[in-house]
Amino acid sequence: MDNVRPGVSATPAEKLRRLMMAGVLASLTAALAHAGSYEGTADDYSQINRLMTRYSAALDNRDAQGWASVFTQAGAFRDFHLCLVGRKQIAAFVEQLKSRGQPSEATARPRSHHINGHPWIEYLDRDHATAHTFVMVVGDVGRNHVGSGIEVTGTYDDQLKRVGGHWLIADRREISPGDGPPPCEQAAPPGRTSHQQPLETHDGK
Amino acid sequence: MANNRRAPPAGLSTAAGVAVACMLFGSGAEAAEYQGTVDDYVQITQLQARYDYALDNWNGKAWAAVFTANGVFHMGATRCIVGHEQMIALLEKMAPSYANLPPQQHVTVTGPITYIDEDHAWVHSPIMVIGSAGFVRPLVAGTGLAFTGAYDDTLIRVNGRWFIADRSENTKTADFKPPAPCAPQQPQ
Repeated sequence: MDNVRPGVSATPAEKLRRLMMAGVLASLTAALAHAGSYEGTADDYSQINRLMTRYSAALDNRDAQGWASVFTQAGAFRDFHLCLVGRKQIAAFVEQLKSRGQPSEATARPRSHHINGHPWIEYLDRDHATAHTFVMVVGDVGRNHVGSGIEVTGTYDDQLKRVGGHWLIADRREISPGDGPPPCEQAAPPGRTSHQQPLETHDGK
Repeated sequence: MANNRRAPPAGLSTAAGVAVACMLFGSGAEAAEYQGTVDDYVQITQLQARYDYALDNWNGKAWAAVFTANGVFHMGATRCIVGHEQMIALLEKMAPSYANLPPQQHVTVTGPITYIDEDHAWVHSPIMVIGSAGFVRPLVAGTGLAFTGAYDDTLIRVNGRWFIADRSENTKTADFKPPAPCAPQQPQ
């Protein structure tokens, strides 16, 4: 700009350069303002809702890889007695459940169903969010068997991360009323698992 | 200059007239038949999720924030809680009496939303309150369905965001009475 003398009209190339600089500045300003106040789009909401349903369906149907795939590669699942870190450990947990005969072989139906409420999502920025979601696990009821009613209720406290354009769970903590803290307050380093009472009650019904 | 103007061709002025009429009638019809956008739906479900989570955690400020500043919560058939200050005070007063009871969680299922216009809507949503059934304290007293009913909400958009202007608890029990109108109140 300093080579432009007042009173002398700019060349077309100079006009174009100014225009481009103004555009870049406007974009940067908008992006900076946007980052601090990102409120999510309908697409974000739809993706996150779908993530929650994929999680539940995979867990109910003992789909180990499907369940692990809703987490980031280093994602963590924590509840009062369990810390699973990384997709490998997360999938291994479901494989362990499968080896215990779940779901019922007789009917091939899940023995229980995870049912979620609407997640309450707060966006930290464009690629990070937290969500709080009510969850209820109910026993399967069919024509030939009775269910066990509401087995578990609680809240999922999630740290979500957008990876490659897709929202994934980076850290999920399941909190049920009366539960103590998980064995790891924060997700353990990859490769380390903490089990105090592995597979007790949870999904072992 | 006026003498230099030429009248537009008759066909052009007719077309322009039709276009203006279409815009006018089109926008009028749109206002009367506003059916909401995906963004409206997301905002309204998020409003309900925030309400439930705030209430379950006895967070009066967050609970009040889902209402307009002078919003009304009809508590049962007779009580009117008006404005944020009264709402926050209500939760502060109620929380201690629930401290030793099994925790409960609200689960709202967003019902069909009827848009009155672009900035006003109402929605009737089924609600369940579910008693604790955690891992450590499974099946203690108070577990299972503690309450079912519905929320009748009047919603209003303020500065681009939806809020609850009026919510009534509607339990539809045998002794159900529609909520009495709330007299204008000053925050206490």
